[in-house]
Amino acid sequence: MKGKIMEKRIRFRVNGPMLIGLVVALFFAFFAENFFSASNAVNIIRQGSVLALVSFAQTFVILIAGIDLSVGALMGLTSCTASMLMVNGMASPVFAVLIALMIATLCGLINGIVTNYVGLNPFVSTFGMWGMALGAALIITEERVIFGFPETLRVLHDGEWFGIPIPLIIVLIIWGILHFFLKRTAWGIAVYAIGGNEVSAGLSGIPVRLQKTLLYTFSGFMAGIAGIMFLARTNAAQAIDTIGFEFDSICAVVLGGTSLMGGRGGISQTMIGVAIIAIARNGMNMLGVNLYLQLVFVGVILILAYIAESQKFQFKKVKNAILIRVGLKAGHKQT
Amino acid sequence: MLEPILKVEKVTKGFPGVLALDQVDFDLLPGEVHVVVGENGAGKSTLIKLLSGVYLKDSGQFFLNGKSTEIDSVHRAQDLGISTIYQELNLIPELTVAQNIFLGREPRKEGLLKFVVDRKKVLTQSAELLSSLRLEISPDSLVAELTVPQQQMVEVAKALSLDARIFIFDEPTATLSDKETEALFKIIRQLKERGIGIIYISHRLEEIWEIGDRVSVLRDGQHIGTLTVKEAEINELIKMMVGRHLEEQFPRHYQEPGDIALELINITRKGVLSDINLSVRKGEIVGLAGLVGSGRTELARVIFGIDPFDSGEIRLFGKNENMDSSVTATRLGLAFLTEDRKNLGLFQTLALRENVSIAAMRRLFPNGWINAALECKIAQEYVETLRIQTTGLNQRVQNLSGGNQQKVVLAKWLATQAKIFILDEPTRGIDVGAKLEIHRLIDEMVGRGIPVLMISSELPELLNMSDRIYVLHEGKISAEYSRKTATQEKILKSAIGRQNT
Repeated sequence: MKGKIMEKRIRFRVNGPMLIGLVVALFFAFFAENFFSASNAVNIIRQGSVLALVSFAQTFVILIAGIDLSVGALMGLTSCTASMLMVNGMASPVFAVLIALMIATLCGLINGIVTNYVGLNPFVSTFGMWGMALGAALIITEERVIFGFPETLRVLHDGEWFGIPIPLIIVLIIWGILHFFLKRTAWGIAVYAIGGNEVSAGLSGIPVRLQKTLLYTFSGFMAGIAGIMFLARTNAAQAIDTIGFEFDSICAVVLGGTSLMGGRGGISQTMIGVAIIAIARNGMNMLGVNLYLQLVFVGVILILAYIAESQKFQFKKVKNAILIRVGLKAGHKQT
Repeated sequence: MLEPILKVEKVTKGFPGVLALDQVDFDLLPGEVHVVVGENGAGKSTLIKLLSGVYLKDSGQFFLNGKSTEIDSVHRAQDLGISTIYQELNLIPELTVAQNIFLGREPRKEGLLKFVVDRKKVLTQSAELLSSLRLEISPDSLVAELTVPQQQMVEVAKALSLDARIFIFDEPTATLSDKETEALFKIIRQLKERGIGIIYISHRLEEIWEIGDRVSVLRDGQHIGTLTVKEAEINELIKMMVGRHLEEQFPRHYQEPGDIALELINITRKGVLSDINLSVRKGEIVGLAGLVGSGRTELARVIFGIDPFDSGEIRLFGKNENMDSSVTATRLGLAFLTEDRKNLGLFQTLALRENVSIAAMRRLFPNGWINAALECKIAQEYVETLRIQTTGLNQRVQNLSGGNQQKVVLAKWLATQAKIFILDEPTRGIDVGAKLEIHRLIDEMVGRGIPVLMISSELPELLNMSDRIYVLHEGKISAEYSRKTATQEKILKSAIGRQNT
């Protein structure tokens, strides 16, 4: 019984990253007019849904102590491929989307194989994929902005179902499935096991390399879905538009409290991280903060959150060290 | 006569340059504890790794229940009912006890939901398993929250759930206190009653008589002999292990101690240490006894400036010092040999000479440029005076044996010309021969007037090496004994907080 209580306590603990993220988000929220309105809430959800989808997959990859830096570029590649196929009339919208998704999944599979079977550090392999995907997207679009798609695609962003925005429904369904997968199936437990101690996981009969490869593949697939959702929102495809999503998604995962060392965290925590970033971005947009400055702020939030998460950070110790250095406090003379 | 459940016949395993096992014979009866002893490099771990499927043998045969069997993978070993409990535990700290026990073979729900883990079954089955071992561990607590011995018990439960008939324990007590060791032995006795055969590896020879039925000695990859515990005798065993008589395990020359070098006054760290008063004089070894978790290592960390303390004073040579970091501590001439040699004491991937000079950089190379010739000269000096066995000054320390690694750590601190040494478990996981050498080196150091504060879980070591012994219990000093008044029994009583003086 004692164990049960312990588990609950951990589950409901508000961690440092969340707290910092919330403070920052609320700061922008209070200074922006019309922040607390129904239309803005829907707006935040629509904007946040794309990030949520990428971040879910990123959470899986980070849980196994990996990282996927290619997601932003893969989103671009997906939206550009799909739009080129549609605009040139080479495929029906549905078919175009399916082909683009297949390409993104394939790229994820390549990430997984290069990382786990060839044995490269995911930082290198997925960063390489970032370059390749971005380059490919720029080449097929000839660096242009592609637009003029059938209206049906916009349903994914603008649509409603009994008054609930379609993107929210999509996110909630995927969230539910992934959460269930992670917490209730043997594969989900294996994700935590691999992140906690890969060697032990292998000794327990878990196919470690295969599972890791599939998770990178899944990350590619989800980047593809997010790319299509993004396309539905902007109604125009440009290769570099989605660059930065790798950064935001890692931010969201870390803000939620998932450990970069793997083995600790989860999808629902990431949902909180996504909400914080979506709120902060929305607040800054309303305040008219320019896009580049927004990047600076998100970067600051990320670093503050990570400091708050790191147990080793001792504010007092740092303060004392500084005071001694500048001579305000008695310390040892260096000899 | 019982039929052996495991028989090893003329098994040989070679690595480039070494014959790790040479035509070794070995057998294991059901319900017995067969202890395997030998110095580091004798072939014990190779034997374990062959049996658990990590290595493949070159020649020879394994028989399980009389049938010739190949053990060609870790999974095969598990299927055959051989479970190994390694010194470094193989649990996932982020998962619960129950999840760990059934990791990789979770019971599933019936029918359509076959891909879903049946959490109820996982919980109830692990609870049954744990209670059958009479363990008070909740199956849904996180493994990270358990103590090391509790984690060992979980590994035992996991192995039982795999229907293991042969258990291999690789130095299970190396990190346990005496009380925890007793709890582990209880479990081992239960396993015996179930007819399980147990191979038990240990460096602590006195455990042979406590838990063992038979003992086999390996030396340089060869099987030297197998004795029943009744006919085994310690000096004879040591002779079999090292191939010669060791005159004395604890060489110590006592002398009149000098001035106080290190003094702690009312050191308190909330929740960890309270009101610690302690002194160490020049030319004296002061022992620090206590159970794991009693605050021994924590105290060492406070003295060395790694952890802060709330009140009290640390005096070095009579002067109150502000010990705010390990950098300060080393500058003031302290040396700290950590209990975790592998991770905290050494840079595994660096060469021997770099490890020797790394703490003394400031002294040896004051302008910041590394003088390779000087570095080699100093390293060479220590290799000779400490008799470090190495292929060269550029050998990576990860390839040295435990005893030689510990000597490198000693050399590292000697190179800083430290004035006070704190030794935390200086001979843990080191074989008998190397232990004697480390003891000799410590004695030489103290003979030159260096004060030493020594933490050890091995009471014979503390009793035979120290001038005085402090005993810690729940963060407080519960007793102080001189060399003459200290006995094993008294220290144990003080360590569990039950003395009537």
